[in-house]
Formats: sequence, structure tokens, C-alpha cells
Amino acid sequence: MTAGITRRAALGLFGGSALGASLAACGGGSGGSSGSSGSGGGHTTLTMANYDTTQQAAVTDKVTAAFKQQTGISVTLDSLPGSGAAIYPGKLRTEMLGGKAPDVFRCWGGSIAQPFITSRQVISLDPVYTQYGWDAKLSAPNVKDMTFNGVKYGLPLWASAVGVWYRADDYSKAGVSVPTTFAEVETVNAALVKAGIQPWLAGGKYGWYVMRFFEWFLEMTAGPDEHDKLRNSETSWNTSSVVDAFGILQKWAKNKWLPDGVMGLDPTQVEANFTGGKGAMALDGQWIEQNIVAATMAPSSYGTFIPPTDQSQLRFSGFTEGLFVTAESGKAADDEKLLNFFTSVSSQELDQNAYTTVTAAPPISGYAGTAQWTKWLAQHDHYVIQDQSLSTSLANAYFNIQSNVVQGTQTPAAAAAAMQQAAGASKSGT
Amino acid sequence: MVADTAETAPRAAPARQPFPGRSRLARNGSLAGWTFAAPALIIYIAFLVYPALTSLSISFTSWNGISPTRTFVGLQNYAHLIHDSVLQTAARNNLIWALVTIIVPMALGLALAVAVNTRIYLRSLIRTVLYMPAVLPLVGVGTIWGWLYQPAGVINDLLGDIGLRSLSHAWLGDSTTAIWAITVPAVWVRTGFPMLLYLAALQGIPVEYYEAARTDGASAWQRFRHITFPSLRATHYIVLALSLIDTAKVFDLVYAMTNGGPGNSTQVMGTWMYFNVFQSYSFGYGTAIAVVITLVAVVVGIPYVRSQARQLV
Repeated sequence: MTAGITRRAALGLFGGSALGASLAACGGGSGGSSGSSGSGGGHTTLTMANYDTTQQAAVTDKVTAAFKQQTGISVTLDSLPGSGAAIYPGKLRTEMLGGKAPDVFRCWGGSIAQPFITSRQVISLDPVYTQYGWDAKLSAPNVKDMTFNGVKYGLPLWASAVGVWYRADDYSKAGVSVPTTFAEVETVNAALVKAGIQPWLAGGKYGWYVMRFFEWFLEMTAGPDEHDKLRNSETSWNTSSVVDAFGILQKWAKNKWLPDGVMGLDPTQVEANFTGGKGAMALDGQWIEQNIVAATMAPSSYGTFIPPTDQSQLRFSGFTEGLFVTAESGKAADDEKLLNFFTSVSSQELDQNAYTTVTAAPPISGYAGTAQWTKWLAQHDHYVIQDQSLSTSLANAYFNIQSNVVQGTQTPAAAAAAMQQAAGASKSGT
Repeated sequence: MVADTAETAPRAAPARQPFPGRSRLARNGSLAGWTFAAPALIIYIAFLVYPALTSLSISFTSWNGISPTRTFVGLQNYAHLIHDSVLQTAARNNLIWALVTIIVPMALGLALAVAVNTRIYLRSLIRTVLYMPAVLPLVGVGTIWGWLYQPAGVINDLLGDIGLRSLSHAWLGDSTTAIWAITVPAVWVRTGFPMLLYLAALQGIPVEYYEAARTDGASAWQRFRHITFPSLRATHYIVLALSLIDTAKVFDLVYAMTNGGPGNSTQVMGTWMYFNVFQSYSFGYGTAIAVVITLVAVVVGIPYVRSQARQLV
């Protein structure tokens, strides 16, 4: 035998090595946790999970590089671009369950962040707000969105609002101007149809785009107080205001003010269809302006306004995104330093965050509509977008009811009754 | 002759060896078998049996998928299955799916196999083109067909071009047509596989059968009915069994094309399980649905597995 090794001995050696490697792997789990090198070498690395696009990640990298320069703490970015609320929270859950939670993560507020809080996967930031004086730096309504049961768990850094974005050329063709009342909105719809222009672009495939219309209508028919109570399931959904809101939704679908077959359309096509001139209006967030600017539409060729609700208190739908610190991190002081760095003016200058909640942020240039919305967000209160304010089970039930109403297979009265039934079931956990 | 004696004489029974100190397992010679099977068995247990048992245990709990504690609820999740109206819709859709996407691809696959089994021009190219949809990723197929089905999409345009504008429709936006619309790309994708199996089986039918039938004056239909179809019995069985197992796993096309909508009208068991687990955070209930799907697939697959095992013996 070559080198005097028998086949049996060679197999035994291989088996022993494999066993050894397996045992080593089992015992070596703590070595690579969260990309941290620990404090032994005097250098700390934090991991930050978010859903940045490649462009956004490049900006975040700039901010974290500046943070490293100032503090010596490195930040490793773990992005899941374009995943949205349907996928990203699942990734976070998997990492947390697997003991590989990031130190810091970006997330939406409301019912999306709620499970992480009830499961004690994130820490309270109440003392940190006091330590760094964040209340004075940040917009109060957004801080409210990151507050759960009176405890501040997240640092709100991004605020979005849902408003009407319109094409000036279509308005001009139809001979209409920006509406200031809800009745005027419907007049504009009718005029656009008469001019052969599709009034609204929308996509109902996932439910949430058409939901924006319903919550606007409900804000108008119920008013802010009742709307808030409805969203918190503190009052019955089987009321005339809900019936009226569903009635308007059904009318808009029937009149083809919403696109034909809207429930089968993909909402991701709305922005491209808007810039492509396939419809006059979109009910969208400030992010649509990035596409508008990218499509080289002249600033005078489009505009935006707050959806009229005819209520004395004008509110609109919005949502807040923020940063959270995980309970598993074990580096809370460094995590909090990083969070605070994001609120600094120098960071804001690097970030050029168009959705900032930081009151001392530099002005936004090149995005007139977004800049306008930043002002409106500071001036007006907002209600949290419905799919983040309703419980997940109630939101899912709503999507089904909404679909029936839009298709005309359920009357508005039956829809309101069904919503109440779903709210009751959601409350009792059945 | 010695050799003759050795061949004709009855063999003496081998003397029993006492094997002192060795276990019955070792004596039976199965220790070596277990040793050789061990690596695969360990992987199987670690990555299939253990997760399956864990899933089963989760199905008896109420859990949001992240909380450190799970609340044991016994059979509550399974009891809820009976009252879940969406699950009933999903089960009905699974049945529609199974009927359409098994029968139609089998029939089309057989017809195409018979057609391309003849000496036709560019036969190999035609076979490749017909099989090609089967290798495409289903999410891509779903996305492309989603565009085709748009109200202003190619399908409605084609209907308009041939004078059938009145039939144009929001195919995926209407609860009554959406599930049927999704089965069309499913049929398109799934026809290639039975075609391939039938084509292989057709090669094995002796030509003499057909020659004899022709001599007896049998028509093409009679030859198909009395020779081709019965000769493909084993292939019918394999195609049917594999297709049945496949239909229990339906997910991709529905998820990509309608996301279970409009409303919940196109939910199937797989998508409804996914929504419960990953969107509603009802891990216990979603896992109970997964257990039911698995049981259905197992029950459906048993005859196939048994037939395969029989062939191995």
C-alpha cells in the first residue's frame, strides 16, 4: 500500500475528520455572530438591516462611513432591496429566530412593527430619547407612530404621505383645475372621462393600492374622530359612514374612474403608467416623484395636492419608518449612538433624505412636490395608513370585502356588516 | 465424476455458526447495511423528518413565528380549518386546478406525442419547442401571462383583431374568471412533461402490432384506440400519479399572477398557507394547513410509491 495506509485506515481517518469538523462547527456558533468582532480588539462592527435600493444603500453607506470616522464603529449594511412589507419582516423574523438578529433594523411602524415589540425582540428607546433630546429634533406625529402602548420603541426617520399626483396636460385637455372639495374631484373625474382620459391609475392586485381610496373616502364620510375609532376597532364598522365610503368606492369603480379590471392590475405599474401618460392621476406617496423626475417630466407638467375630505381638520394617509434596536444586540450604547448620528444635521446633509422627520434637515432641491409634502406633513396631522393600523387579520378581511365591492358582488351595506363581523372576529382572536 | 457428483448431490445445509459475542443485528449482516445507509439517513432525518415533526408540533400551537413562547392549543387550529371559508374556496380551487391541469395536459401531451412521433419535417425542433415551456421558471411565466391578460393586453387585443372584441375581459380582475385564466398558462407549462413520457413510451410499442392492424383494415382511430392507448397504460399511470402530486403543491403561478385575488377568489391551499404563516403571522394555523396539504400529497402519492417499490422488488 502506498505510504502504508490501508483503505480501512483511510476511511477511518476521513470519518474522524468529518466528525471533528461537525463537532467544531456545532461548537463554533458564537464566533461569527452578527458580523461583530466584539470589543476585544477595540473595534466594534454593527449590522444594520434595511430594504434600501442600490442607490439608497450607497447613500446609507456614506452616512455610516461618516459615523465610523467620528466614532470608530463600523456598520455592515444588510439590504433586501425592493422587498416591501410582504417579505422583509419575514427575513427579520428568520434572522431573529436563528439567533442572527441585526443590531439595528429599519422597519415600518404600526402593525408591521408590532409583532417585534410584543415578542420583546426590540428594546425601549424611552431613556435614549431623553438622553439625546430626540423629541425636540423630530416631528411629533411621527414619534407617535413609533410609540406602542406609551413606550417609544423606534426612532422615526422617514415620513411618507399619500396624496394626489396629477398630470397638468390631462387637466388642461379636460379643462379642469385642481379640485378643492370632494365634489370637485368627482367633477374632474367626469370631465376627464368625457375628454377620453382615464382619470385614475390604480392596481388592486395586492389590495393596498385600492385601499388608499377607501381610507380617503372614509376619512371624508366618518371624519377624523370616527375614522380613528374605526381603525382602532373602538366603534362598530356597521355604520352609515362606512356604508357611504364603500358606496363611493363602488361608484368610482362602476363609473370607470378607477381603471377597468382594477383588482387584477399590478400596482407596481402605476408609476410607469403615470409618467407614460396612461392616466391623469395617481394616489401615491412622494416616491412617485423620483420616477417623474427620472422620466424627465418638466416641473410644470405635473402637480400634487392633498386629497380633499371636506372636514374642518384636513388629514391625509401616511406612514412612518424608523430604526429599531434589537434585544439580542448586546451593544445598545453603540446602536443608540448610530441612531443619534442619523438625526444629526451632517448626516441629513449626506443623506439628502426627502422623507425626513428631522425638523432641522436641509431643504430638498429638485423635487418640488416632495418638498411641498414635507411642509404639509409638518402642518397637518396624518392617520396611519390602513394596512398598518388595522390588525393583520382585519386588513386581510378588508381586502376581500373591498374586492367584492369593487366588482359589484357585495353591496356597501353588506360590506359594512362584513367589516364589523371581521372586526369582532379579529378582536376575539378567532 | 467428481464434478457430476458435486452438481447433482443435494447441498448440505451450512452449519450454523454460533457468532459468540456478536449482536443479532450484526449476525444478520444488517449492520453493514445500516452503516452504508447512515449518511443518507442522517441527512434525511435532519432535513426532512425533524423539520416535519417540528412543523407538526407547531400546528398544535398558537405562535406568531417570533415570540419565544408558543401556546399549546391542541386541535384548535385543525378545528378552525372546518370553519375557514377561504380554505373552502382554496380547496375548491385546488380541485379545479387538479382536474384542469391533469386532464388537459395529459390529453394534449398524448395528442402531441402521437403527432410528433411520425416522420415530420423538423421533428426534433418541434419537440424541443413543445417541451420548452416546461423548463421555464413559473414566476416568470406567471408575470408574462399576467401582462398578456391585462385589460389592454395582448389577449384582449387579439380578440379585438379577430372580431371578438365583445369577449375581451379583465380576466384576472374578475373573481369568476381569474382561477380559470391561471389554469391556461399552467396547461401550457405542463403539457411538455406528459408529451415527453408518452413519446418515450410510444417508441416501445412494436411496429408489428400496427402492421397487423393495417392488414386487418383498422382505421387510424381504431389503431389508436385498440393498440396505442392500451399500450401506454403504465405511462398513463405514472403521468397521472406525478401530476396529482404536483397539483397538491400549486403555488407559484397563483402567487405571481393574482396573489390569491381578487379578494381571496384564487387562493389555493399553498398560497393560503403562505399568507397565514408569512403575512398574518399565524404560524400555528398556517402550519396546520401545511400538514393537511402534506397528508393529501401523501395519500395521493401512496399508489405511485407502492407501484415503484413493487417494480424494484
